[in-house]
Amino acid sequence: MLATARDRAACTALAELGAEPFILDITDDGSIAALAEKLAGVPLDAVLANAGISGDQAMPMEAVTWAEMHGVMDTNTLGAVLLVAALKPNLLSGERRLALGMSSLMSSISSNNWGTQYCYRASKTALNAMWRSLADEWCGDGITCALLRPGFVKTDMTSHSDRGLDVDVSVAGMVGVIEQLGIADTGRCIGYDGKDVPW
Amino acid sequence: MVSGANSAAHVVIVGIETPIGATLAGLYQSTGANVTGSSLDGDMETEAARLGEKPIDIVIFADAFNAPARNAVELERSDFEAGLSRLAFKPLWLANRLRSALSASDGPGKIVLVTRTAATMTEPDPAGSYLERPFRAAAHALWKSMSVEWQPLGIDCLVIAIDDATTVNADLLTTIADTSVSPEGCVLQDAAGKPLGW
Repeated sequence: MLATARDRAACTALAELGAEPFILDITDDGSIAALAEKLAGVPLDAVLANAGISGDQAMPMEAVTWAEMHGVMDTNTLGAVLLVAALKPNLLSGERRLALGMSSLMSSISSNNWGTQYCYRASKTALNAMWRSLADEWCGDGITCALLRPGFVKTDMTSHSDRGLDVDVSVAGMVGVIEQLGIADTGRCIGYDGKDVPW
Repeated sequence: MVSGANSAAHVVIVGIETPIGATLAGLYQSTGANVTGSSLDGDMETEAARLGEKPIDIVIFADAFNAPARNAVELERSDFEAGLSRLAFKPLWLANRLRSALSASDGPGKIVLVTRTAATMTEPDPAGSYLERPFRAAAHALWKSMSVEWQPLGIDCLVIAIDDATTVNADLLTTIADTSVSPEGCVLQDAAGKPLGW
């Protein structure tokens, strides 16, 4: 198990969990390149692009700036696709060949009947579209490109809301989904509960 | 209700220089509507101030964007900027600046995002896989939010997929005129008003 974080303190915490830690900031192309160089020749069964930010969730629509939209997209969308692209050689030498993106119910346009969180929603919808394109392109390589929906989870992003799922429940659900994934699932967006997320 | 038969209609077409924009302009002009052309190329503050000077019945974003083909491993971060700005950020920004002018319309204001079926999740688009499709999809998401929040203000936000200017005809004007958005927000439609999947 390899895991990444943006700073050494977080890497220490990952090591204590039994993972082999690496420094990575997916908004930094040099950081992605450095990780790919360190992992050159290492087969990977799965790459999960999990990094994400919410941005300013309370920002009114009319106040959305280029800096806000670009910043949220940079992490949630662009960094994710650039990361898995950089590690494609590792996936090709792995057995399961899973390129996974962390999506959200907020990515679902059809489920949105209350607005708000414009940049976050847009970034996750764009991530879905990126992954659909990846699925089309990489299907011939036998790489399964799938999106996961963790649910509303008690994390820093949700201020550990009482309404949220426990992290263990969400993760256990997603692990169960990942264990069953195959090339027939490429292009799907699947929740921790095993249900497809509507576009 | 603003329609092609309403000669007093003030229609703003953003991207009037594109084949779809020019065709729409001709159709609306033939009905007697007052058509104002616009572009996302210049200074946006100046353009928003110019367009917002008088009530607007219909705003149509018909801008064109041609992204170069790239494989995923060829992508560079800077490649994404143009599509994100042109397809998602600028339309959202300008739409918000024109909200007051749309609210001042005699009937329900309409703000229409022209998109492509190839930008949906179900239609693969190799040419714009990474540099166009995701940002058109992002714009769909933004328009959906806008449609929910502006429906109570009397503004209908529509998303219509048009892949070819030759399919732009009077039926499209009817679709724009006749489509009312529910409190649940807009759906993706084709030019004839048929619902499509996102």
